[in-house]
Amino acid sequence: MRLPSFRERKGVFILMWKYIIKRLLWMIPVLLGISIVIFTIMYFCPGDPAASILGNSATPAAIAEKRAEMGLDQPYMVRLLSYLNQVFLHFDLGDSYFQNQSVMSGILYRLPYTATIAFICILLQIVIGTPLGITAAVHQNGLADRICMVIALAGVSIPGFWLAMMLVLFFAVKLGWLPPYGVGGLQYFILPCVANAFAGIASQARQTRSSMLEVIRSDYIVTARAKGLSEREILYKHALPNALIPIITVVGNGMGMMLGGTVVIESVFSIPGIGMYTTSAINNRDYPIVMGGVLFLGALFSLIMLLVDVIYAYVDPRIKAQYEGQQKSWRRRKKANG
Amino acid sequence: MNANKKGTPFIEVKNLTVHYTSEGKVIHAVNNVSFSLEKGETLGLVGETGAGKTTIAKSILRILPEPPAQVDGGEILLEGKNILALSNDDMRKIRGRKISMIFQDPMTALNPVMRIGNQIAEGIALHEKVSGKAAEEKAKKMLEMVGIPGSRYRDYPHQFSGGMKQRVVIAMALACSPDLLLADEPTTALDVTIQAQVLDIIKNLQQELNTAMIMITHDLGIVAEVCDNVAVVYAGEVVEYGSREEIFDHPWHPYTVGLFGSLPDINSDVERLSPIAGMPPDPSNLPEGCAFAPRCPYAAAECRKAAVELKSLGGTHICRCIRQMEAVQAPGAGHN
Repeated sequence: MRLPSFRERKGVFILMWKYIIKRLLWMIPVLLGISIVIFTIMYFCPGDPAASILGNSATPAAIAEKRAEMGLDQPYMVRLLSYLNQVFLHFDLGDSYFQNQSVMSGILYRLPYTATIAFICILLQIVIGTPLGITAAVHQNGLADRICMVIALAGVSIPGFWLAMMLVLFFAVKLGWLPPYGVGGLQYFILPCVANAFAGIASQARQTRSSMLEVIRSDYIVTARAKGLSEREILYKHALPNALIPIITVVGNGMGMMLGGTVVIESVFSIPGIGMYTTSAINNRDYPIVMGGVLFLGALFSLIMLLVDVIYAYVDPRIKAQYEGQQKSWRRRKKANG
Repeated sequence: MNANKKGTPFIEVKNLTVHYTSEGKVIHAVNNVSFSLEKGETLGLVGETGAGKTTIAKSILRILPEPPAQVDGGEILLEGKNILALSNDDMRKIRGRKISMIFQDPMTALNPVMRIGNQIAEGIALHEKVSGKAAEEKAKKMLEMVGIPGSRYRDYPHQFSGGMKQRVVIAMALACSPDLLLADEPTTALDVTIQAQVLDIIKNLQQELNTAMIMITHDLGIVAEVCDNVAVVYAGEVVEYGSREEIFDHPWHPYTVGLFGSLPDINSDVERLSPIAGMPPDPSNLPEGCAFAPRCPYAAAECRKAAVELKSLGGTHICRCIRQMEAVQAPGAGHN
């Protein structure tokens, strides 16, 4: 009895892999599109990097010479193609104009800080936000619901920088328990993560609550109750798995956003993260960093969305069937054409 | 019929009254409903949409959403014990094991993200306290009993058609051989060609397991096919009750007469159906006196004054109508 079902699962596994590979290949045109758009925007952006490198005292002749040296005097198409060639054929994001460093190593240097904050925040969001939302849904309109929703409302409304500064004032300045800013051991991450995660916890709780409320009213929950299951079993075996899709979406979006760096938190706590890296590059007209950063974020976001879609498939068999259906019809089309 | 020796019926509903509260209005869904049922028997609850049939069934299983629903009074005696007074934990042991329910819409009654086999086995493992493997075996057997190959144990609901899903729901309801089965319009959501099959499955399994059944329906054809007794429900009240023969051969209450009258007749050549005129009363504002009076062709001033009591018509046949004799003996003569 077990063997065919194992083979069956193996078949599904292969179908999923094909889907994943297809999606990964689709990322190429997406990233190509992103780089063309961001390159064009930067091209038309006012401001001259050559002038800012040389400073205020530079003569126009020196600036023109510098522009020629940097290749900024070339026509749009030539510059675009050479950039695409460099990125997609040589996997090189270029070097920063101002920092003596390649964009890739700049990003990789900052990524660990941003990633640490992002992962801790997402973890907090899941571990605290989801139970809050479930509690609120189960006790809809009750006291627990009110309390959870007040917390959620506060989380959504309180600006991150204000919360960050209050936390610093209290825990770092007044009590002296935690370092006020900078990077170092794990204790440096506590305040930024708490400040940053609060909004995520709130939106997670709200999403979980509304999606649980919807599911709790479904007919199959009545069926489960009619079977004699306990409320706890109904909640965790029947309701929660059905409510997961919107919850996963919130987590995925949050993850993508936070990996892009959180400028406010990074600047309050002086953390060398990706957010500060790219935003300050925009001010400096450091084109390679802006373009490389955006491209890197695009790739990261696409990967996270792919991960979210794959998790969907494992949570909801109907979605998995859709993916497999796409695969099958795609193969059928291929056969028909060949 | 194997009546209990002590004289207590297997299940007895006494003066059940349920209301819903919605936007500040009180909706009287079930008013003073009483009936009883022996093992192996089938009772048909017949009535229009909104008459309170499903509410009756859900209160027997105590799965009404509270709030907005609230049971105001009455007793539901299962083998002499009032289940409305049981604790939640004790009630859980009855659900799915002694009383189970087939729901109206098979499309939404199954958990979409759980394998159907597991959904059946879940109840078995819970009530029969057997291992997962034994529960799985039994669930497969149940699937085969309703005509689905056991190899589809690991499939999900979306891989089945509506008729197949309803069979899964039936297998689930009957998995623990319940003593009482509540079938809430089990064929309404199905294709006509599947209806007969599903009905046959329910009937055969019911006979095999000697289960008492309450069949909720608005289809008199189903009543004729499966029910021993019939209770006609109107505006939350039983307006007529009797054996199938009594109701079909001598429908007494004008509403029952109207129900039969609105059936299309194969033998006569008429272009239009003859429905019962008017709409069911607003359950938040029931008329004083007989609830059917506003639509009743025989209604008199008396009908609108005070609530009408059930009267015996001999045998098990009872009816809630004061002008019952006139209505039947001289149809049409009661027009004012």
